[in-house]
Amino acid sequence: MDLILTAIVEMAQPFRMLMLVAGVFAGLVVGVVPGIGGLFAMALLIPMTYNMDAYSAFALLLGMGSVNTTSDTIPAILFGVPGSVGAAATVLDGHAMAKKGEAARAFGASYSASMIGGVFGALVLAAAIPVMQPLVLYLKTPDFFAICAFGLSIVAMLAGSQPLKGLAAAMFGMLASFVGIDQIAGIDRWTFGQIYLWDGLPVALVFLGLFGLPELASLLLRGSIQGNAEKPTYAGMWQGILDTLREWPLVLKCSTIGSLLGAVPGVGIAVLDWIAYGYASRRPGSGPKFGEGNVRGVIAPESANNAKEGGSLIPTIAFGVPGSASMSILLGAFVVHGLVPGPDMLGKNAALTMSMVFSIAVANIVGAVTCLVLTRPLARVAQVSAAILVPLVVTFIVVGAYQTNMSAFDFVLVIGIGAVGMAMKELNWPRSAFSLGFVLGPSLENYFFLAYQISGWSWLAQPLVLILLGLAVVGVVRQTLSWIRARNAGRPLPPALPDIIAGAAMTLLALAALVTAAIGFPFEAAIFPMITAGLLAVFSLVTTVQTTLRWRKRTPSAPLSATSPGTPGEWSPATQPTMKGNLGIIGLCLALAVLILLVGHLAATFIFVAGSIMVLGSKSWRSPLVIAAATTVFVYSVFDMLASQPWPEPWLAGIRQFL
Amino acid sequence: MLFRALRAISVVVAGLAFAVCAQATEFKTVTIKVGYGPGGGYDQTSRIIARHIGRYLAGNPDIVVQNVPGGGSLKLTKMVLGSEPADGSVVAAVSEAMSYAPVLDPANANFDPLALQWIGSLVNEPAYCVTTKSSGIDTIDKFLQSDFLIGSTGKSSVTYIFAAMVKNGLNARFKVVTGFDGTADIQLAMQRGEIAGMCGVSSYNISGNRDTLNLIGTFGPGTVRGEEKLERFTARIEDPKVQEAATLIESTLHFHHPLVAPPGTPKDAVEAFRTAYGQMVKDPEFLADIGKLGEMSVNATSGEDISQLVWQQQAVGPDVFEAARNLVK
Repeated sequence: MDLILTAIVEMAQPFRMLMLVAGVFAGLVVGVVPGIGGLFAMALLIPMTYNMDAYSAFALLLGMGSVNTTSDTIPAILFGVPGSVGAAATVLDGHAMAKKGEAARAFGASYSASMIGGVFGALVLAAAIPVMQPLVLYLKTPDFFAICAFGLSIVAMLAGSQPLKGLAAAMFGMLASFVGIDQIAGIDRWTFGQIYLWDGLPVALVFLGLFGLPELASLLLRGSIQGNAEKPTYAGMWQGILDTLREWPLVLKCSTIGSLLGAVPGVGIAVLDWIAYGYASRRPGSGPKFGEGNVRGVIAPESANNAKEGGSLIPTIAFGVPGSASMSILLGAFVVHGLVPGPDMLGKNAALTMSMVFSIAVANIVGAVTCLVLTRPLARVAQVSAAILVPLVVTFIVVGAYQTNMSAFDFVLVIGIGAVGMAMKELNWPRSAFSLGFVLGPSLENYFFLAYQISGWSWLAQPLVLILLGLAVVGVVRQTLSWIRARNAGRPLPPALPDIIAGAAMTLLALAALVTAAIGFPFEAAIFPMITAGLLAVFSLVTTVQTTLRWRKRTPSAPLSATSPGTPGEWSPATQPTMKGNLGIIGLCLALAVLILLVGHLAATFIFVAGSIMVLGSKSWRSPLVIAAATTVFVYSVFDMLASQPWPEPWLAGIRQFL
Repeated sequence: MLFRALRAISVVVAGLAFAVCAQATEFKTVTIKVGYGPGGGYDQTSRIIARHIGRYLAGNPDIVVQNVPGGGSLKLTKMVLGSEPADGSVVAAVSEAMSYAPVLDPANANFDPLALQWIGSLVNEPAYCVTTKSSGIDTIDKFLQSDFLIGSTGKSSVTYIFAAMVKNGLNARFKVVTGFDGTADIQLAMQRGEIAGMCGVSSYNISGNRDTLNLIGTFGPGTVRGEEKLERFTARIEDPKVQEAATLIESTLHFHHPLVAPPGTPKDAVEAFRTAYGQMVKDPEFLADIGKLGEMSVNATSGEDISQLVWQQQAVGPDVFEAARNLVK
């Protein structure tokens, strides 16, 4: 009790509270803008804390780190663009709600869930202080493997209305995650001689392309985010908050998932987000299907990803082993302030540890309240014309993607993955299953080999491993039974011919991967990719054969109705000529990418925004220029002043020098 | 007061002298690219260097830090050798192990570490093998003759290279587990009792839990302040050729945390960086900042000396290279 009081008294000093609030605002901005994540922001802020006392420093850093998972839902709900990797799962139902005119409700639900989750995570951290050391030491490497395997079994919940495609998508995601230099043999897998690919496909970029671009295409066709002209009100927001309160058991369970998994090194927000989402999708409740705007699909990932911050501090404080990537940067701050992670943090520096709990809790409350206040103006965005929104969002996706490596490959990847995402969306290959496979693949492989090198196969008999693997098997078996039962239910299916082509292409890709892995990689680097590619080949071949048989029989496809009963899924039959929208978005992205390379990001932003608003049909010529100028100023202030990364020289400037 | 005035005067004089002799190279903005992700030792030291080195460069440039992680800084090294601008606007913090990357891995044979322009390095001290006290392995003989597990990160990392060198050079019986995420991760697995030790660690890596560890032996000559003198592993290697190969690998310990400029960077710019680096590592403010990073103590090596060492590395015969490759397999 004394400890808590000491911590509160220490934190009550005006400068420290000021730093906390400053951190929260920085974190909110960082969360909203795709491309700059909490990770990067933390690296920028650390040097600023050199001359502060430790309390202020951690107030600033944790304030920033705690809330970017609160505000990253804003672009996720409005545009389907995840503001950070932690918001990808929120896109599915959050954006669907916005399309139905429920943006305010989705915001209310997500912020309140974020706040409760965040405070819960802080409490878990506080409760863990006395037992932290034995707790972290109790979990051994094989347990981490089992946790990841259990996480992967959640794919079964995300597999959607065509489970084989769901499983194939998960394997596809896992296969994609193996690109790059492997951890065990140190060889490069499928990098095609590109140094760019050594570190694998960047997660943030994959999620931007996979979720952001396909949603934009449908926004372009619809004309505005929300179909009807209903004005958003605070009533919707309150409804969302009440949703969260009504679903309190789900909030608590997902917060628990978030804070516990957050403590496992290698399991980041990108993973636990999907696990929480998959967990919630087992019981969709009374609302619409998952993927069609079920509020539980917003509450679950949002409570989990904010709870993570507290959880991932546990191994960081107790052992100096970062529970997440941003924690490894925070560790740098420990060192700078002369703090040694370990027993000291629980003994003589316990007040400081307690102040971190306090910072996380307060930051989450301040962050959520700030966002709630902004809800009404933000929800109005849902009615703005797509002719204005699409160019703006494309700008943030493309400029944000360019932040990843400042290389032309960033554009190629985000657009290429966007195209894959569009195809997956049209043809009912669930992107959620892909994502879970993609984020879990490397941890699964690495923990398996560590466990195997340390103790051969004997770890399979450890109790926690048995329990977790058992639970995973039970979950998959139960889900399979329900698929078999639902087998003959008449469901709408995507058009057959493109589906067959995509399935066949996927089968070929899998076979190519299988062969190249078998020939080119040493055994330890080949085994996981080979198993994954083999499964992918089987799943995609079977689904292709099924579709072909259906096509040959010329079964009339079921009538198009979005409300048909069935297993939860994110797919609904297309009602519009989607190809046009998809090509439009890809064209816009390409245009902006080329402009950025030619004239630099600021001039490119201005030209692109003004030009494309005019092309997409603006009546006046003044407003495009005003909007373009405002966007350019915003891009400058975020990407040049806040995140002062050096930009590569545009090509045209190079030519001028040459002349 | 007097001290402060003197310091101010000396800074001004140094600045003037510098401005006079380095008029040719005015720096506007200098980017320090770091071959690792944010948060690690390389990132932290580079950010501290960024804070201080600008004062010693003509034009008092802004220094920005950019992370270019990949392949244990091999990615950035290849970029520095190939595509980075060589006009003094970019310098890079890469692993010292890059100096023998072409020696150890034939796949890198096309790159020339002699072409890198070495500016200076921060740390020059021996590395250790350590075991946990609970493992009971507390002498070099037990270390070489017992069956146990040593943890390491990737196969190109110092944690693997030095462990493999002991295993292959001295026929030690331990097994090397690869795939840990970093040295903190290895140390946690040691505390859990899953593995018994690790190799290639510097004193500041283990400052946190020094009292739970046995220091077994060192790589490279000399000792660290405050530690007793330990046996050097490579002194036990009998075959002179293998020993030469081992010394070759150890020689990088003299320039831990180096800074390099791309090949083709103008000579006066490189000189300006080297002079600035030499002045910076004596600056009490810089030393105070660096001192905050664990127990890191600066023991700098000049760019000229590093070039000399790298040149010596590359001058040995192909049979020694071959022996070195076999040592770290």
